Amino acid sequence: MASAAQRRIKSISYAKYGYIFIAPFFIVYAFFQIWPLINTFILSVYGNGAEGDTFVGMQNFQTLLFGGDDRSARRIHEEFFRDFGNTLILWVGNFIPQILLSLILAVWFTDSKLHIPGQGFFKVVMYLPNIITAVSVAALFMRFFSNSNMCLVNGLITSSGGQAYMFEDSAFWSRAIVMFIQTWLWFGNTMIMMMSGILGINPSLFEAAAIDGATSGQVLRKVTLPLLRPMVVYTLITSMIGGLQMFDIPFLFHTKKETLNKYLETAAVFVYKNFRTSEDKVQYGYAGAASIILFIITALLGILVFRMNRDADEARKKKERKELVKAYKREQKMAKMGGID
Amino acid sequence: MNKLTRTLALLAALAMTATAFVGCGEDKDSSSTAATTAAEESSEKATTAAEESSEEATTAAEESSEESSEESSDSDATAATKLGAVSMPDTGDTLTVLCWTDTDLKAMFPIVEAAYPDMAGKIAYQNVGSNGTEAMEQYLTYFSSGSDVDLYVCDADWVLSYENNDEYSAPLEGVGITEDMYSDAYGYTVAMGKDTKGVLKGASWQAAAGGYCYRTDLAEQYLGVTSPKDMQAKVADWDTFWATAAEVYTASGNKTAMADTLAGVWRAYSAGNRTSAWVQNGTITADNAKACLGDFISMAKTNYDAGYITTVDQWTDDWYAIGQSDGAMANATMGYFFPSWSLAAGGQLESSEGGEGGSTYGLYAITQGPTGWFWGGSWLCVHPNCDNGTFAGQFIKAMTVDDATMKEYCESHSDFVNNKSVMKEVVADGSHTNPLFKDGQDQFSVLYDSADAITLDGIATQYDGTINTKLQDAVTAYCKGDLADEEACYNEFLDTVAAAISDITVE
Repeated sequence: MASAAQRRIKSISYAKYGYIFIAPFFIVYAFFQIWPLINTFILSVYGNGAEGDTFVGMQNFQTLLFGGDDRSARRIHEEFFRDFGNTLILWVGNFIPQILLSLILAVWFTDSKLHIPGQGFFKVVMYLPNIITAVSVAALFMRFFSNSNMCLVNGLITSSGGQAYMFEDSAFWSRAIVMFIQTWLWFGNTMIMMMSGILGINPSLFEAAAIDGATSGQVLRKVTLPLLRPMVVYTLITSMIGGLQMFDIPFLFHTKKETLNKYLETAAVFVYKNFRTSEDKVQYGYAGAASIILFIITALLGILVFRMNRDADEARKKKERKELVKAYKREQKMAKMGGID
Repeated sequence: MNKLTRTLALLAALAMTATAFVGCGEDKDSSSTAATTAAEESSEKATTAAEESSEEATTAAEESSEESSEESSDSDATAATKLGAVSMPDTGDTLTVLCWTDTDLKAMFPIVEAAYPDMAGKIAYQNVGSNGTEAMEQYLTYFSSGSDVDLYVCDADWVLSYENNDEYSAPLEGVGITEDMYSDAYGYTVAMGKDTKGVLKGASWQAAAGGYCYRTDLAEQYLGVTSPKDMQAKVADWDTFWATAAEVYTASGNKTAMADTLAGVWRAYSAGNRTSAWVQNGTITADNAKACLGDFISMAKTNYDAGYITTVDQWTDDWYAIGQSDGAMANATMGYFFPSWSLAAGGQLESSEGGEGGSTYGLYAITQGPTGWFWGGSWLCVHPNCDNGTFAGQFIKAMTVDDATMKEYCESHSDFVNNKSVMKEVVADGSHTNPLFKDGQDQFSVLYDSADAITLDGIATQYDGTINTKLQDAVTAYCKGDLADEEACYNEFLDTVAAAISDITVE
């Protein structure tokens, strides 16, 4: 017979302390993440400016996607598509060099035959740009290339007798600079990912290839790349999500106060611009709707890439298994009901 | 022991929650420390300033008694104006002024503290440190953070949108300031201080008349002009101005432009030539837009292409570099369109001269320019959460109503104050000198007439800030060749305005 004290101890649940300890995170998360997230959906169906409290349904989406008859709607529509185009250009332009560079470096660094000296040093140095804040990087590059006659490159040009070049006025240069910055910031990070992917491949496969006399090109094409696919897809998805939300550097890269560079305005900049369009004349409706469209596109692209990655054989087998289970269940059901006839 | 562990764990969890919410507070730590140090400095200065001002007051009193009795009785009458009944609470201990630049406030604090000793050490400012619409956004963030704010400084471009919003501004009557105190003020500043219902909500300490500042050395070299008066003849109207520009450009070997920026030309042109409000009944009509623009677009394009306007933008490093005679952009411009507040110590003129010891320091002179115009200005508004009613009233009164303090501020800071009798006195004295100008030229005598001519009755709207920015962007794009023709420029301007302000209709 257990004593009263023993029974009490048995009934004490320590689980609640666990909940108390994790509560702060969830409270903060709900307050700062979940609610704003839900609120974005709500705002997207409300009006803009003084009509911020009026329910307008899908009006904002229609304006963004199809424009309208008046100047305002037409312009908003044009700007939305222009900014979306900028986002894609900037993302593709920084992702391709970034993944190629990281891949080459990762293969070199993991190649047991090459034995590159000072690997640790190079890895650290290549990762370093990633830890600098975007603002500092933008400020740094503005000192090199900008619309100022006194930026470094223009200083060199003018001191050698040339005409100062307005880098921000050129679509090519402003985009190329931002693409370069993005690549420079992220290739170290991607390289580490790729290296971990390569190191995860069974070394006996490389050995077998080497014994069979495969050239390094063949090893790369037939062994490394196919087995690295999950990692490449993972990088593609994370980079795509990040790329579609690209904001800081394109937003900061302009010399003239309050006038953004139109070749660099991304979809996220569009959202911010309307969120804080000018003074107190906020356009939450457009900002919300643009965010939702961005969200849908990101989700769709994510699913697409994910499906592409799926092993075709595996998928077929899974489907067949499902079919078998279905057939079996059908039989069971039939049997239960008394069988055929 | 077990209890201790639990208590500790609970404390740790609470601390974590608390730190998670820390971000909700204000993020102006750095500027607040700056403000307190400034306050400390100013309180230190206050004692010396008080001594000085008492000396000055005695000498001024002696002088005025020697002068005509009428004048002295006049100034007595103004000095006797008392602060009205203050309905706002006095529960706070520090009067907090929110601003976007602190150069003016730094000069004001010692003067106010000397005039009202009970305020000594109890005024501080919070500087958001940006300009234009960015500053306005920073203000909104600051307001919503719930931090203490009693007064705040508004720019001409957006003062109306704050005044028209009761959530952000309270009537000045609440701190004992009434309209009848402003009989000596420039009319347009009072007009801009009222909201759409005619309630006085902002008071300006300055009248922002503008002039054309030019390099005396270049004028002599290229035009043979030696005095501001002769220079004025060379820039008397826009046609003469651009004719002189051609002369300067050729004489300098196609190096020196006449005007600093497109935006500067637009400020002068619009404030002098525009006679109707951009937005009427919530609409910008095509006719009105054309009337407001005048021939600005074609004028800008012609002269930009000819090299008479530089390619730089306002508020950039290059803007200051073009006014100096050394460096990469030496002698790129003959002069600048500057309003009165740019001419004060620490203002844009000083930066364009390269600061004290700069290559063109003290080489500029000022003329009225092709047109009388104004640019900006600063209004003091009272936040509805003001908890230092009396101090706020005293501060506004000292800086925008009282002759003695305004004169002191005008002389110490070279700012064109919003008080006709003070300005008249200062101009008549002829004692004011500005070291930024050649031979210490007094800009007040030049701008005095321009300031009086500014009328804004009904032509200012709360959208002007955005409209000005969008117009300058469109015209700059056209001048740089991004837009094909004038029509495209005009459409780009109206399109961007329409997209930015959904509350108005643009035809």
